[in-house]
Amino acid sequence: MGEDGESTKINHSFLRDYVTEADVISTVEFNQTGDLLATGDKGGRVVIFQRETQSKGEIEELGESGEYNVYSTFQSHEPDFDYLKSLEIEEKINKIRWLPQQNAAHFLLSTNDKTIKLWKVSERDKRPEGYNLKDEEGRVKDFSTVTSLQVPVLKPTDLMVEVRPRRIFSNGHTYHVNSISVNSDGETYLSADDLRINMWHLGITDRSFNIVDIKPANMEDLTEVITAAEFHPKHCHLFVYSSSKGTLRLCDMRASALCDKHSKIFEEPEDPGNRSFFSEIISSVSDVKFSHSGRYLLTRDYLTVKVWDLHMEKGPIETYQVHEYLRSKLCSLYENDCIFDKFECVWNSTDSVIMTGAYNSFFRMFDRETGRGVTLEAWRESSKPRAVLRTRRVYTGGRRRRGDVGVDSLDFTKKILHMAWHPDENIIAIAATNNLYIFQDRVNPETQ
Amino acid sequence: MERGRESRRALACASPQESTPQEHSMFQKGTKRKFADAGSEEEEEEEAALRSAGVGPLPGEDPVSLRMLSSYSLQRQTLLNMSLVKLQLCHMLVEPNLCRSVLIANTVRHIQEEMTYDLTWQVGAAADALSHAHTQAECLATSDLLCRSALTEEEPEQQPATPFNAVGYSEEDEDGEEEDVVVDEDGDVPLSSVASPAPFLPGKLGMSLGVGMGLGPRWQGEPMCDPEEMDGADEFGKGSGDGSADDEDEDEDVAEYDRTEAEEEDGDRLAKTTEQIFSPLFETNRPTPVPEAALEELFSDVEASYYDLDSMLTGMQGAGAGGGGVCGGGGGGSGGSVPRTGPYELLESLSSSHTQTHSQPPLNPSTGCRPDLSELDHIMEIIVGS
Repeated sequence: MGEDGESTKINHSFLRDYVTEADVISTVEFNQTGDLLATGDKGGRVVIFQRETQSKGEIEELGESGEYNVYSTFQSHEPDFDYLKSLEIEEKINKIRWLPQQNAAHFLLSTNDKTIKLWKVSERDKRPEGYNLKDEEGRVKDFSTVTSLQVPVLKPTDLMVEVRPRRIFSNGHTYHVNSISVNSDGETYLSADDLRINMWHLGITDRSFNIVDIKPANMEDLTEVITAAEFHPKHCHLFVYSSSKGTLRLCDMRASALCDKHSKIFEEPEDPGNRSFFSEIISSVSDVKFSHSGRYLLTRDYLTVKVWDLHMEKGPIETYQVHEYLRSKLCSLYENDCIFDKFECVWNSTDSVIMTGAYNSFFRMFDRETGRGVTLEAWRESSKPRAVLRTRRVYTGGRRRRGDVGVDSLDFTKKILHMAWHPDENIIAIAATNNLYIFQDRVNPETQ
Repeated sequence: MERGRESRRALACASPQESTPQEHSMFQKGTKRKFADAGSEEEEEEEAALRSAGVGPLPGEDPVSLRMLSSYSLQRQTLLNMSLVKLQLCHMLVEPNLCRSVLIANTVRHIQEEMTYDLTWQVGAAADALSHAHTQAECLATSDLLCRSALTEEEPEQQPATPFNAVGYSEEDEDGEEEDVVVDEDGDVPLSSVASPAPFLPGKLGMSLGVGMGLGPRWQGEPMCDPEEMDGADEFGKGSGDGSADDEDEDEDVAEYDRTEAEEEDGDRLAKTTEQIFSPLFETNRPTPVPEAALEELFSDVEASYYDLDSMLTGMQGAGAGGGGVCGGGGGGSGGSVPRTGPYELLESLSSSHTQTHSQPPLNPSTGCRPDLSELDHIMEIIVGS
């Protein structure tokens, strides 16, 4: 018995560590109404949260927002193995994108490094009862016992959420898929890997259309990769993709079949005063997002977030410093690989506020009208449910206030990479490693 | 000379993992100690060498900025070494992140270009001063570098422990065959072999970098040493008894040094080398494997050359006199074969091969720069121990 005790102890600790790693959230996304929130994790699971609706009698003006509770959980991707290259394919969900709702069911696309899947999420809360030929368990009845005919009726049952894979888009990518984006036409979507962007039709899984290919003829000449891509929210022929060299390329699919040649290229000239060996690495764009209006672009590189006007290619119209105090630490961050972290960025519903993540469980919000930024923390220890978030500060000199955090005491393992903003209200979802935080603005729940 | 060695030991002993401010200052102190302990005569010697090289301090320039440049070059070298290590130590099971690899490769390329640029500057300036011993500082005494203030703000990286420098500088072997082997070797098993020819990858680059640092040409037997020593290096190369194509190449290379076009070739070699190193990292296909015998032969050469280079380096960092003598030594020919292993096993095999080569003293005593065997052993212990 003693031996068994030993082995169970070992097994438990192994399982605990293993499970924890797989629970790390890798993507967060609201659907178009904001009622559903999907998260994907490193273990290939998708968890969907649903907002509790008020009971039908209550009035919404009270400003009481519903809470999000787990709606459904399913295993989206399984670990895979590429036999040709002898390499594992991670099941980590890189991106989730919801399709616009067309009927009672919800559809979402989820992708790992290689395969994109379309899932149908449907509810069932009624079931037919009173079959003539089958009994309650579904077994065929003995006909001799049937004495009269009855009409089967639908009876309400407990809500059941069914999730079924409807399409599997595989073998479209040689490199790792980093982005997917649903087109405004409702029929197509794009998927981007490091070197290529493909356009798929939602109904066709056995082929895709390659629209961007930046793979050089000689791989030795490779100096730039695609880091993110997105369709324009209103124009179904426009999309943008960002590169590791800090450039953004806007492409028009009407111009040519293969959009290697961009219509517009957005690039900011390098600041000679800040040049260092890390200049290129920190200029690599980790995320690009169109504004809801479609007029602006939001990009995130290592130290800043930038807002670009689609009509002006020579540079961003706004630049916000996320954590400029890290500029002097670039060498250490390069050494521990933190410099390669890919932070996401998001707009609020009116495009007046932008948000992005940082280290030490901090995330930053910038008000575009005032130009001011605020630092907030997503950390269980310092915030209780329904507590008001305090603003935080990183001490970089001058008068040190209580609560300021020194640059050297920042925890670089606690990084906020993934986040989402409700499409209509001031509700944000922040993924901090294993945990999902949902914050709501009680003062101004509805955005004007 | 002794005090110089001590300071070098201080540099070498620091663990590369630590990056506290203490280490930073330790690094700085070591640098200063190198200059300070060696006494003023070394400084005078440097300055004299500088002036004769025609790259003496500009009016208003002082030895402090020279030290800054030396520190800059050390930081740059550290960064380069770190980048090369990163490129190699990829995850074995999962495909490495292409974006990360590309960014690191671009950083390496950038550093290489800068070093090549330095070299073209130096070779022209040092053409008149072939017979003088040079230190690292004077190699970088270019006005262009003086303008670069960006890096002085950067947190100086943790110790560029001499072992890393040894990794960075390897045998300058112009054997094209070797280069091809590296590529095929890598291409064969893209991920595991990236790690296994660990001495190769940095080595090939390091060769070019050694060039960039101004060590390459000297390594090949010229400006570092006196003409007599150079001949000695020649003989050493010939007498290595490897019987491989290295000897012929060595002769060629040494002869080439007389030409000022050397730096252009280095630039080309640099570009070619860079490509051949990066391509296996980016390719996901597997070309056909290379015969084992050729690999083993070349592996054996590199191992010995690491030892030689490292000793040359340490000899150089000392008083600087007679620093480059061993350079010509390609052979030493430990003859040990190196199976494809991970980076840590490689380090261990390197250390064991070092002990083997210890028993083979350089053939030419007139080189004047006998390697500090015990110090090398000590350094290898640190690497392997960590």
